[in-house]
Amino acid sequence: MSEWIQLWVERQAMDPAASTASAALQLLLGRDAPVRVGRADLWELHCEGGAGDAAGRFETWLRGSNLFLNPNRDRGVVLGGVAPVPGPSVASVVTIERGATDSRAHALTLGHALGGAWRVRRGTVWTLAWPAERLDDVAALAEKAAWARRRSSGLLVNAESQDAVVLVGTWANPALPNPEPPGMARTDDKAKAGGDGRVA
Amino acid sequence: MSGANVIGRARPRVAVVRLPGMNCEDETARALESAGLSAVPIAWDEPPRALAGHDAYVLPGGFSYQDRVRAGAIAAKDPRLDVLAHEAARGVPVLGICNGAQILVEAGLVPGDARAGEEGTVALALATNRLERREGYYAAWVVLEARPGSLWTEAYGPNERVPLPMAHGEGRFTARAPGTLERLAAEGQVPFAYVARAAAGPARGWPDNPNGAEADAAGVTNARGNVLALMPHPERADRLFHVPEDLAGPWGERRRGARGDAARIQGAGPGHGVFLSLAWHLGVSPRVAVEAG
Repeated sequence: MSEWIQLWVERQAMDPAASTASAALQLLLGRDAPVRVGRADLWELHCEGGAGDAAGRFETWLRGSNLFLNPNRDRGVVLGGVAPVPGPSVASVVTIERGATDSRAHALTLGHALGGAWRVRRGTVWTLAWPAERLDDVAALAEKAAWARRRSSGLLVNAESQDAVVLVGTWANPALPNPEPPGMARTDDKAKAGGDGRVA
Repeated sequence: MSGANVIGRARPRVAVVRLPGMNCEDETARALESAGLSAVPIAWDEPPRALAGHDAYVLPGGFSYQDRVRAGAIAAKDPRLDVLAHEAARGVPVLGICNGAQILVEAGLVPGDARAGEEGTVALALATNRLERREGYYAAWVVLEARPGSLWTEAYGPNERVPLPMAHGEGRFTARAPGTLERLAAEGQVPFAYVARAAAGPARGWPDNPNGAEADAAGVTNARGNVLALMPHPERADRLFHVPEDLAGPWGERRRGARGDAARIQGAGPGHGVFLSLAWHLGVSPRVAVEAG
């Protein structure tokens, strides 16, 4: 029995990094900039074994813990496989540092609390929204906003140290690139890996 | 420091660029002055054109724009970086220390080799430290090797061991293409590299290399060599009194020997050579620069 769980953690108040990114993208991209920028931590947990319904048990346990979020500052949602910020003109840039290791401390804590063998990874999701009239351009605009290739283009991902996937109008579970441990990459993931550090 | 003429002409003017969140500009300015240079602070709210026309530029350390998005990423998009890129393409020296180094890398000035009017491609990253048994921000004294052949190491002996303090969370030079940093080192673009702290020889992982940087790179230049992104802080080791008394090696011995000697303890520290090298490159005579230091 194996299960992927996604925990979405965002600030209750305005996220300062998101507001700064929004202002910087306005300066960089002008009318092509997103009208709204959000940011969240995305925790992806993989549970193997245990007593079943890992997501339900994790959610119950999470209410009494501050291991993944600060309840005075953040709000957390266990995603049920649906896009956390829905909308046809919304893109999610899901990014993780290349070669980032699993969080062993989080995994051990969950194993002790809930049973089973856990893997825990953390990445970042940038949520970019454009006006409905730009619907056809969203995929291209999201790529433009995402990849910091030159000084005058892109901001959110430096492909030299980060992997990222750009999702438009869809969501995935797992969403963080390269979900398998190093050395165990699935062949379909390898096939999907783009030529410039992105995972398409 | 009087700002008096040096060998018959005004001191070279070095702009110290101040962006919101930087916090090392004053000690950087003092280190420049101690090498016989004139430090000119330029604040973020001055027009970008105020930057142009200086003899050299320094982006000091700190946390520009609170390290939002990525360290240096927001500052790299500042219009002032266009001016710096233009000046760098003309061969004007540009030094980025710690956060300044992160800005230069995110702006594509290091290891970029853009010609005037063109943009450098972002071809490196300063990624999160990879440490043994811990992660995140780390502060310690490390030992660098100053490699010959760079304008930035001219005041040091060949492969001189230089202890400097480092303090950062994102200082790991890395690139997507394997072997990039090794290639840059082979081409002379890594004038400062981490080496073993205890004895001579290369770094043997952490803590010699405090962040997991590829090729043990502590400082990387552009192809022309006039733009340096340096992670440790030479300005925090500009004077001998900056050196901790318990530091091993010759600089520690020098510091211990100067205990109670007010004049000697004010003398040059191991980081002074970076600023002295810049001063020599800008035409300040070695004798005058040493007297200033």
